[in-house]
Amino acid sequence: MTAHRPGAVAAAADGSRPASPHRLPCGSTCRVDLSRPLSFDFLGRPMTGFAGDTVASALYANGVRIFSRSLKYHRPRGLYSIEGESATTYMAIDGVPNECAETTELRAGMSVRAQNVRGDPKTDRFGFIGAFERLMPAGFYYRLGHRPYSLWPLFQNGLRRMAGTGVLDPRREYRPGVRAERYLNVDVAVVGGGTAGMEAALAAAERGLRVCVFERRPWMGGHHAWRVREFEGKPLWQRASELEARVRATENVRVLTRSPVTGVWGENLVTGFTVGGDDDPFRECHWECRARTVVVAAGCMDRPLVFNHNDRPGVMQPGAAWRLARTYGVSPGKVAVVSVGDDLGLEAAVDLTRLGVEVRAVVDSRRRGHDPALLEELYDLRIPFRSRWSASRAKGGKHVTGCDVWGMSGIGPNSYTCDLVVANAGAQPRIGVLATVKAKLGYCRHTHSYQPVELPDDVFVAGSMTGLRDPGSITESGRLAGLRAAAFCRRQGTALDARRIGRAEPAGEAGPSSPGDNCPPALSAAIEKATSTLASRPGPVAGTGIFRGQGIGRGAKAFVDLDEDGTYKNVVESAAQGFDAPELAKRFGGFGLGPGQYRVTGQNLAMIMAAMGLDSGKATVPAPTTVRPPLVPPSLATLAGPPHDVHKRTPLHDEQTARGAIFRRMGPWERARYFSEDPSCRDEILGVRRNVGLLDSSPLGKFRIFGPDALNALQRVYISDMRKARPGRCMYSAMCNDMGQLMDDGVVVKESENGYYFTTSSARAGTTVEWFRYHTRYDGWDYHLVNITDVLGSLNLAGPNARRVLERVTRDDVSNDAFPYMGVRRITVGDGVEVRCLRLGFVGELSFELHVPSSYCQYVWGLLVDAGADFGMQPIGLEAQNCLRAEKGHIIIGAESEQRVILTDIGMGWMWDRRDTASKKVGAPALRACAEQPGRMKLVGFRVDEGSGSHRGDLEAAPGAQPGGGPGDGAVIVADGEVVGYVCTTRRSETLGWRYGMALVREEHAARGAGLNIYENLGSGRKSTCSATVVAPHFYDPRGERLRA
Amino acid sequence: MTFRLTCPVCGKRDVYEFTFGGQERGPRPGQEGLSAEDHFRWTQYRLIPYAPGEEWWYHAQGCGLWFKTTRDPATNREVEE
Amino acid sequence: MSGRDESAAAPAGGIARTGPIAPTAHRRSPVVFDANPATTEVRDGWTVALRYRHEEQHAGPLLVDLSHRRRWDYQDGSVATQRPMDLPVPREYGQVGVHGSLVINRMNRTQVAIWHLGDDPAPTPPPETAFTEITDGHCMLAFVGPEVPAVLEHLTSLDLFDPARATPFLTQGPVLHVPCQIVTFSSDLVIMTLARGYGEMFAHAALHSGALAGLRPGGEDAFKRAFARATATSACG
Repeated sequence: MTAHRPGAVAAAADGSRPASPHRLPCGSTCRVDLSRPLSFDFLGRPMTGFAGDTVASALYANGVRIFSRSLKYHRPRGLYSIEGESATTYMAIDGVPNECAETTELRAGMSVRAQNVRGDPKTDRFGFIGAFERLMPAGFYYRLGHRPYSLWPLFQNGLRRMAGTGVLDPRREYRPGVRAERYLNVDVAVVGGGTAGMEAALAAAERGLRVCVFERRPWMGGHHAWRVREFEGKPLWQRASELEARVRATENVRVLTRSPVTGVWGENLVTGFTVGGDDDPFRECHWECRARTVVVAAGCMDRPLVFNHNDRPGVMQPGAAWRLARTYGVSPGKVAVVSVGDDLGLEAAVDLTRLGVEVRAVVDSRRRGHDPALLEELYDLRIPFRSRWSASRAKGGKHVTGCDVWGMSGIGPNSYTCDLVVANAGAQPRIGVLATVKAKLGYCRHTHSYQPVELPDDVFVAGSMTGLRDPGSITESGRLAGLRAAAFCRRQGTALDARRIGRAEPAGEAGPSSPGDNCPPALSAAIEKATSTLASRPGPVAGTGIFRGQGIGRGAKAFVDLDEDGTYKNVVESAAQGFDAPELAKRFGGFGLGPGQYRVTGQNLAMIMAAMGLDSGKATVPAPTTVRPPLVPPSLATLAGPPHDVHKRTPLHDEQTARGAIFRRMGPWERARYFSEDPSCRDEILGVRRNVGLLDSSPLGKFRIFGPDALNALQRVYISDMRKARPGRCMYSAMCNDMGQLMDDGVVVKESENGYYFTTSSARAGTTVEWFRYHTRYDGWDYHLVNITDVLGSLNLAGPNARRVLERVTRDDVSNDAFPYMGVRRITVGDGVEVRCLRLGFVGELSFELHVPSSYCQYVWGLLVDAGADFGMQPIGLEAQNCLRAEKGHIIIGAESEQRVILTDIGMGWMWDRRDTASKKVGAPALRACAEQPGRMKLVGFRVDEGSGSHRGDLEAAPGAQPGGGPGDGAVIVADGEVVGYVCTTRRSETLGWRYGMALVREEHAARGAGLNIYENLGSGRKSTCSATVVAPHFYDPRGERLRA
Repeated sequence: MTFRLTCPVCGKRDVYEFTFGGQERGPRPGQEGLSAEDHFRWTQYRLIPYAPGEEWWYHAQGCGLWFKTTRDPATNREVEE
Repeated sequence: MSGRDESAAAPAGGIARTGPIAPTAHRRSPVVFDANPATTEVRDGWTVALRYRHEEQHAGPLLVDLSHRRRWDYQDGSVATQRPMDLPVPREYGQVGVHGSLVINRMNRTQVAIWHLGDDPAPTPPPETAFTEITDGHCMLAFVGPEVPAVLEHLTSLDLFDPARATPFLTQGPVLHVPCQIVTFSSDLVIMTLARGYGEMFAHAALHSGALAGLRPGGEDAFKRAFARATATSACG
């Protein structure tokens, strides 16, 4: 990352001419490098900024004052905040809308445009709308334009066109750049790299803990980074800078700058993101940091003062004006009026004067509590100062030309001419992170801010957000938080963790070595010492409960929320409509729903509501509204993450690609579905029926089970009597769940005394081990499972010529006598590759399933392809297999079964060992209870009556739809106006010469010979129908002679 | 929402690594003379109190162990028994 | 082991076969790197890349395909008291024993994995039911060299470098959302196995994300050097 060293423009500050009329010589705190100009354009106008500028500071330095137009009233908006607290400077940067100019670092060649304007923000065509403020009271879009309802779309579309923020161009190709994601595991996550956060990090790191600091700015030091006041003989910025150097040099502290935290989730999962600098290989990097403890030292920000026209360009918060000058070396204005409510505001006024801004007057809404040293400085600088006064109105149209101030007691106004109004009501803590760690917040009447009343015991708070202002108190509170976090880790540590913390303890601190002990004495002593030091230093300073200037009248132009154009008047209206709690008003009036969220609006809204409660006799304290993540919005591309789709490929992927396979994702696998553009797979099907085909069925689940209790486990999960499994022979069986529904089917082969080999369907391979262990978890059985699905690929050689192909690659006897149907043999193929060969018949033909060690699959495929060449053998895909097995009446779980049917409903009840109760077979009690139940759905085969199908027209590509028409898979079966079932799979069979299918229908329609009316709604008023007759679901080779050939 | 579970073999891990196996409801009942009602009571009937309870979890992405842990649905965190 | 073939092509799983496969190189790794090997060797039916051309100029971390290394699964109800392939079973879950060229990982109460990582010929396990050869079921990858922790930060939330655990140690959990068995030998050597089917896409994704920390494909020689270093300093042995 580019180093942001303070003092970059020190040279330029030494009397030489500033680079632009708006640049100030601000010296050591400056982060802008005037020796590195960057050119960019704003609305096509070329401009120059410098390395270290943000887009906002560079625009401001180029004289841009109006950055956008507001959401509802199209009022001109300028730079009000400096770190994205409000949305006034959301702009389109390089075509990407809603980028926050205040936090986006300037890069050479950027193209910047204003949002929510027609043309230039100075001369916006919708600028007149502000005059119609009366027509847009709080919640007007909930109340106006809805009657008659037919007009609402018109109204809504009009609103959408005029309001809203950025515009996304759908024709533009958006290139998100590299988005990274990284994961961290730490003991202490520190949110905020100010002086408190840095001290906390050091205190924890010194005790051997792994620490990570999230800091949203490019540098650390918090508000001390731009303050030149001295503390203990050193300017604050220099103290901060020295502390930063120490933190960065500490090995077990990870410092993430430009990295705002977006939220803290269950058990301290801290999420945030880093915005890439020039040297970073990514645009944005998402972080997930699992922390044992969190130290929140997020600092404070300005709490806005609500007064008339407080949104005019030229009105800004003290933090914004001060940092514009101190951090970016940009003059915020020539002549200023300052109206504040805290000492930092007074300090800003003093500092701005020193930097050459003419401050006409400073008013402070507080009665007392001012830092006398600052008042003295104001006096020395001959700046008029009044306490208990505040700004009431900013004058001017497109920019501030003056300001009225009123005394809080009702005296006034005093008017000043100025081009800058610096105003706040006070300071407020950045409570976002506290809200996401589920701290309970309460209103503190001393600091007039929300403070944590109840904290989770692994979260610690430090720094200025607790109301501390004394730099020594701030660092000591950080130190204390770091020590407490270390003590928590020590207490909660497992034996393993405790060893680490014990081992890395600084000399003399090594506590008792046994795990589970409380804090070592040295750590306790350090905590006590830090506690007493903190107690001896100045505590939290008094805040002010004032939120608005005097004399603002109805406050129709006094903005509580700049993002959503919510005025003081709107808040009053909301309350009058009954939405008199902040959470209600927030929804009704939209206060705080804009991008700035709670930052500008939250506390003020609650304070206004509480004050109105007081007025009406209801004593209320300000209640915080809920703050939700993301606290700072990352881009959607960052949340989407790197473009990985890590899925499985079979060992034969490349071979099938070379043969023109079209792949589809099936669960985790990518599988060959077709080998041609013909969705009916005619050639593939006929190849198998008449000749021989080769299918890659590698995803088939393959397992070993062994151990003294292996048979017990098989008996538990399989529905058949598994004692019948024997060597050299495949036993076909199925697994049910506790409801008797079919879950899985496959074959089981006994391989040794207590060892078995079995297969499962591809979809169940991933959960088979889990299933076995779940259903035997109370039994303590001694059996072992090995998932060898990926150890063995599977090649299925099927068709009348299958044996002749196989004979060419093996010397073993594969004749029908030596190797009958349902047999299993170990045979050797090619140069000595030993494979398991299973004689099964899923597709209804003579077939051999070769289970080949995966690394040899390509070799064996090559052997078979060469051997089959003389027969014209072709590879086949899953769709061909699907048609072939359906012709045979073999079911696929999930296609011909579902949650309403049990094993006996789909014609597989013959597998069930009804007498066995001792094994406690999974599903057996449900089968017993339901097998004979009347009115169940049953699986039937059907034959579509010749010529009955209406043509499907243009939906030929739908599953099951074939030339010649007729409803496809999923069509419903109707009787007497009622749906009595549906089609599972239906195809037209080239082999049979007619259209067949399987359906689940109510029992009363399941009798052989019954007629079925099949209906499919094709949408847009089109439908497809046919009639069919129930037949036995074994359409092809019903006696199985071909399997046994 | 996210929380962690303590696998007896692997230690504390993200909940995403585990699959849920339901509340503890005792071993599978014997099937000799088991009434349908008792069977469905055991498989289907659930009382979910808003209080810590024993649950089964499977470390699917890790060691493949089914284990019991006591968790508080109010905080999602595991609690000491 | 056959002699080195300095001019051999990449150990790629060729798409279309051109001519008969050499009788000794029937086996294919799930992983195919898009890089030119400088040296390859045919071993036990596998074509093994020993070194890639870019390695000379590349000082960063390497991803090495070790899928050809033999591995066994061993399970027994009282595994702790057994000596599979004459190796002592580590006492604690997650402990790893290094015994010459064999590494034994204690996975849980009943299960260990045995990896053959050295130069000598792999031993043949006794014909017990409890052994399952799983070489072909896994993709095995080694992350070798500097910045390995930074690379792995991009791929997994698992704490693979917990300073509280003595190396080498085993972690079972997801990397790139794929369940893996991972052994941390040192900060410059981490080996993981995952289901073979994921291998190709996993390696692709690992190289893509790991590239941000400088990850490139590497040959087996780089792994051998790192393994020798890690086991020389390891406490287990």
